[in-house]
Order: sequence, then structure tokens, then C-alpha cells
Amino acid sequence: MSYQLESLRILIIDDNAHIRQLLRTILYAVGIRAIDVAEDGVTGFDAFCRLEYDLVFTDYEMEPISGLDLADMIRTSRKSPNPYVPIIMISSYADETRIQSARDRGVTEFLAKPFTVDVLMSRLESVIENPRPFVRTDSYFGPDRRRKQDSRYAGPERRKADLEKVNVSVRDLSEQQRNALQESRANVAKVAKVAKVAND
Amino acid sequence: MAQESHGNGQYQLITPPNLLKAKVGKGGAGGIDPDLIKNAESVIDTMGVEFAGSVELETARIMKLAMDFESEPDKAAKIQKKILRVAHDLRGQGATYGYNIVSDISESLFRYTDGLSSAADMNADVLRAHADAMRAVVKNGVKGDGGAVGIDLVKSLEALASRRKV
Repeated sequence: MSYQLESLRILIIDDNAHIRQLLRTILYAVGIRAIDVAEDGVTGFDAFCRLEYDLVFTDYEMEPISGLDLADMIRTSRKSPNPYVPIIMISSYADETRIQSARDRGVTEFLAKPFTVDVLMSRLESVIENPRPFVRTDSYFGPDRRRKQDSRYAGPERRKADLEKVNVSVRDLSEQQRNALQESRANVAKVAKVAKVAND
Repeated sequence: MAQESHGNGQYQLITPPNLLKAKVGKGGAGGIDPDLIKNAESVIDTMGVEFAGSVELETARIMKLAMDFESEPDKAAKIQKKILRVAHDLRGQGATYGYNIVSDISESLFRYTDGLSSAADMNADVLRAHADAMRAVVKNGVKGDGGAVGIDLVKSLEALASRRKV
């Protein structure tokens, strides 16, 4: 029998209205009904303190506090009602340095934008099936950053691989589509040529 | 909640109960219902139509910003910031709706605009070339990587963008 996702309560914190709507729509479509959203970390943390959330999605870059600072607050603030809540961080910047910073601040999973429904679902399954133990040291509290090798493990984010690039063959394009792209390509060549002349 | 001390007390390993699994896995083995995943994918397909419309609006915005840059070069920094925001948002969404090529073109635009040593070095034609390509893609419903022609278009934009100061 499949998961009973309707029992979950999820909080989405992102300053981008499109991403909030997109996540909300996907999660609703898979059966989750209690989905709250906040457009910045301050109101997001306030909402987090008022209700019992099972999972938090947060953007990386936000004002006035970043997603990293928010993760810190969830993990270590005395006000935090659930320092063990899984946190999935979303970002267009998916380089190793950022992923490591996120891990160092207590983030559970990293989700690179753009993401597909499949990748989002794999993150959701990962936090349900493979919760990591927590580690407390003098300078860190959060999920164990040493990840066990596991066949279900999908991260750290490999952006290109995760994206499941849709390859289109030339035969898949209509003549109109091909012409439109070729016209645009000719325009780029024209700009490049003019620029070259200007440089010479 | 299980707690163990390790490394001569240097760190504590805590294993909280898996409340999430307990909550969603009442019925047994689990997994997300594949029918619901298909449902989510079809909703995203529908949203892709709206996305294509929003890309057309954003490309018009880039065209306008390119024009503003030419007429008011003293506002270059402000314009650069706006373009970065548009490119950042589009690269983060395109592939979700099947428009991988929109993400690729936006990535090229973002790298170009972000990599300039000065906002004043922006080239309006380079901005317009990216906007024009994105418009051609969504107006004609070109999805995925756009095939060989699409890949060539993206490469040509990346080559143009990598020249930084043109």
C-alpha cells in the first residue's frame, strides 16, 4: 500500500511566488493537503513555531534572512518546536560549496532548480525512508553529514543527472520549429559578427 | 530517543524516532502512489502552458531593459540586477515544465550578465539575442533540448556570452 501523504503538514518558504505555487501544486497533486507557505524566512520561522510541521522546504537565497540562517534557527533556536524536522533546501545554485554550506547548517536534502516531479518525489521518499541520525557537537547540531552508501541515495545533487534532460531529435521538430530556431541562430551569428568587427 | 556519546564525549549521536514514516506508512510497505505522481506530472504539463506565456512576457521585459540600457546607460547597474533576476528565475523553472532549452538559454544569459566586470559593459544586442531565442522557443513550443538545432543555438549563445566584453 502506498504512503498516506494526506496526513502530512508541510511548510514552504520561498521568496519566489512561482516556486511556492509550483511546489504547492505538485505536493497537492500527490495528496498532501496541509500545505502552508511563507515568502521570507522571518514569517516562515514564525509559522514554523506556531504549528507542528512534518517537513520544511526552504529557498537558499532570501531576504532578510537566508535559508541557511533559517535552517540554523530551526535546528538551534530555543523557540523551535521541532529541531529534528527534515529540511529540504531549494536553489538554482547547486555547486558543491553551497551544498556543503547547507549540510553544515543542518539541511537534510538539497533540491536543485529546475527540478522535475520525479526528483522532488525522490527527495520526499528519501526523508521518509532514510532519515539520518542527528549529531550534536560544540559547533554543530543537525543530521549526520556522513551519508551511508545506500542504493536509494540520490544526492548530493548532481544537477544535470537529476534533471533527466529531455533529448529531442531533429525529426521531432516540425519545420516551423526548426525554422524558428535557425532564424534565431542566424541572429546570434549576426550579433557575434558585429561584435567581432567592433573588437577588431 | 536513542542517544550515544562518541569520540570521548566529543559528539553525541541521536537517533530520533522516524515520525514521518510512522505517519505516512500506516498502510504497509509504502512508496508514493505512481498514479498520484502521474497526476502531478499532468498538472505540471498544464502549468507549462502558463509558463510559456510568462516567458513571452519576460522576454519582452528583457527587450525593454536592453533598450533602457541603451538610452540610459547611467542606470546600467539597476538594469543588470533586473536582468539577473529574470534569468535566475527562468533558469530555475524552464526544465520543470519540459522547456530545458529555456533553462539553458537563461543560464547563458545569467552567466553573461553576472560575469561582466562592470554593468556598463553590457551589450544590448547580446541581451536581445538571448531574449529572441527564448521567444522563438516558447512561441513554437520547442521542448526538451531542442534537438541538434536547439543545442547549436544554445552553444552559439554561450559562445557569444563567454566573450564577456563584446
